[in-house]
Amino acid sequence: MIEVSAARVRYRDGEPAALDGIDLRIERGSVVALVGSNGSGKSTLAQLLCGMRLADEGRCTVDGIDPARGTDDRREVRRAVGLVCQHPSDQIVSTVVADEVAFGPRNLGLGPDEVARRVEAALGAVGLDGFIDRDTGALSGGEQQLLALAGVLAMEPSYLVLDEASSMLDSTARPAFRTLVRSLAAKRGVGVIQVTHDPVEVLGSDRAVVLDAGRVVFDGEPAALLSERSGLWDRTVVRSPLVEALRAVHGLGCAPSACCDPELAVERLIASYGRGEVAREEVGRVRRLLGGGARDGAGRGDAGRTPKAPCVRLRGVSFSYGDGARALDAVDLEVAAGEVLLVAGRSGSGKSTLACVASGLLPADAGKVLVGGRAPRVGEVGVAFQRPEDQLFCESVRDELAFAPRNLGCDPDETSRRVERACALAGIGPELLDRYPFDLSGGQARRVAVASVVALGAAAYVLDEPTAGLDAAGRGALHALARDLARSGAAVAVISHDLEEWLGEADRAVLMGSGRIVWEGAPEDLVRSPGAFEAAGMRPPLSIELAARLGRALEGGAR
Amino acid sequence: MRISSPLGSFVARDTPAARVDARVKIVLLLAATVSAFATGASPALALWAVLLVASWGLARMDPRSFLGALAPVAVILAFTLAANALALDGHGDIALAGPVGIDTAGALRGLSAVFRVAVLLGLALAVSASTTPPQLADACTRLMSPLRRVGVPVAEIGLMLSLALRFIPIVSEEFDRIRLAQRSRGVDFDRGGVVARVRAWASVLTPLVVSLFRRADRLGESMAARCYADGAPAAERAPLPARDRVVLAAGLAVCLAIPTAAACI
Repeated sequence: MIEVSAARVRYRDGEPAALDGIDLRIERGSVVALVGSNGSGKSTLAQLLCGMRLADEGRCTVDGIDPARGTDDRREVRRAVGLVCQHPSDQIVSTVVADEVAFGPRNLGLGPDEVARRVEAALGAVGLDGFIDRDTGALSGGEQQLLALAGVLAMEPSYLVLDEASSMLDSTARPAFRTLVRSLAAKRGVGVIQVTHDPVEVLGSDRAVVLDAGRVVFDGEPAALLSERSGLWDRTVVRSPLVEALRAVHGLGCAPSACCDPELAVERLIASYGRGEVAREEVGRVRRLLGGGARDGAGRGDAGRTPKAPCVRLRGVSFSYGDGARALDAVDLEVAAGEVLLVAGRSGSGKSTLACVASGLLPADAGKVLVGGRAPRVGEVGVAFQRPEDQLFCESVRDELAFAPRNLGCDPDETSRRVERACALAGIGPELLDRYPFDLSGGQARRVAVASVVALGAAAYVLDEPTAGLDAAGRGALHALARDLARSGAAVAVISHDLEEWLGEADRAVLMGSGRIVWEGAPEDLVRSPGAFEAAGMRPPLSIELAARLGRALEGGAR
Repeated sequence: MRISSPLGSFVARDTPAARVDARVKIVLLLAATVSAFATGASPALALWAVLLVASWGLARMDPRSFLGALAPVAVILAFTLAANALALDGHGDIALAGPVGIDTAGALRGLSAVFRVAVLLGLALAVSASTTPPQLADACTRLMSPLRRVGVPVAEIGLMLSLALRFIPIVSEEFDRIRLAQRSRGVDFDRGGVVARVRAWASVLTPLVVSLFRRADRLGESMAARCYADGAPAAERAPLPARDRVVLAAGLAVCLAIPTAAACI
């Protein structure tokens, strides 16, 4: 058992404590979700649990071993509690798979035969058998995260701390990763602590622990968090159609509130509908919720608005990186002023390449790219790449925001007008303008970085995975930013592998697969197009799968 | 987004060259370097071409990759050749225009220098294509292990080498990514005076360095979480198998024989 008692951690004197008196017990074999907004102390607690940090006051022991006692005890705690972080590229040390997995066991001083045995066993456990000689850099993001997990499992830990380990995986790789984690807990009795914002992961855990300002504010079953503390749930867990639908089913009384498996809840709803206990309209409402539609109405643009002329137009555009394979293959696409277009697809399907070509950053090999009727010049299409905060470099937020207009040759008046507009759209208050960009919190830095692109005053914008790694509040701010940009008359394309998150926010969606656009239409129609996902080589998100099931039940009932 | 990089793209294949111990390959490459430059400009130089083709065959390499690797140094090689071959003071054997002519002895000298560099590059490629970066790092650690007695942290150097080989492609990818991002913010890297250009590149290099430091921090932390402590465990002794000893002896003999043959002709 991991026992944390009265643990306090303070990074700097005068600042509030990162952990302020934490008491927690974690058993082997259970899956615990650790949730909380950015800055609530989750990552500090995760580091405390795996012996990477010691408590200033109080203590944290693992199966009776206190890492504060000495170097050997600390090493044993680090072996017994494995840590997997968000970015696989930050934890892979070798270029060859076998060597990578062997890193931990070798550090434990094990002999070559034992190391080889553990490498094979760990790779088998995560389903990477046969990858032993592969180049780690050539693996996909999902495979790299499995490899990072194997590297930890090779040390035969009793507990695993997953610090947002699935957040960078696409919707096809993520369910497999979750299933693997659950089976490690069930079959091997590993205690799992997963730091997450993802509602499906929280619902699938045995227990949820919510942190706020360094304190535990909730510790109990996820179902209780969802039903009894719904305000706290909404503040700390990312919004999802699955949760809205689950609540609706609970409201209808078809499933007990202890049932927090959305799939099971939908099965119960279908059964109740079959017995005539639930009205057809109610089932239709749950189905709409699952489709991401009919949220609070704040999302979508005006339904009756007249279609505008396309702002960005791609005609038969192809592109390859020179390795023979086509990253884009005869893509036709239009984005109109004032609309939010969702571009979804698996990792490597060509989404980011599409952004570069549409903005003129990469030249198309064939076909035409037109922005406002002409080939795009630099600055006419603003692109906020993934993790845009990685491109901040100025002395102040103000300079960062003024950087783009100055590059375009705007005079000081025009520059400050554009900076003001970007601040208003991104919700950046005047108190942030003189701050040092590298001192901002994660959510603030992301907003400043996106605003520094918005300051271009461009006719069209591409936001590439704008909410990756953000908490519920940070995501909400970015959703509003995308919508406000469109309202201000720009064409906005949002690239995301997380369909469930953006479907309710977008006016239109396209699915990409292998460099082609395989489906295009209104978000609510995606629910009725099961073939679209197959064509994109994706697994449909669970919400869409369940919506389709409800749709079939409704059709059956009509007959 | 994929940004192709030629570095760090080892493809694991079971070739005869891949089965040779990495230490042997490194020692032979060093021996060949000395030997190729010790071989005088004589017909014996052609033997190096034979060796090169043979080593490519053993590593199952595509000759096109050689041309690709040669491209960046082609300018220097061409300059070397021209500097040796052109005579501008009229002493050239073949007059071209006015005092400008071609000095055949110089051309031959230049040609043999270019040839040697190309051969060594080809051999180095054969080694890198048939050896994984960890094998390379491991071999360097073992070859340097006598230095441990005089206090050189050999194991750490080996790990550093291995990490560097892993991170070269990641850094180049990150560099390309930030450059694209700043271009999208209106930075023009090809216009303006020196000051403007330095400023433009600062917008790429500053965030790149910051992100590399952060990455190094996170990497160090995740290594510590996997029980890495100062003083990586020393690589256990691994004597060379008999077959690798034969390869080493034969290789060294060839490296000795070619310059000798060249001197005798």
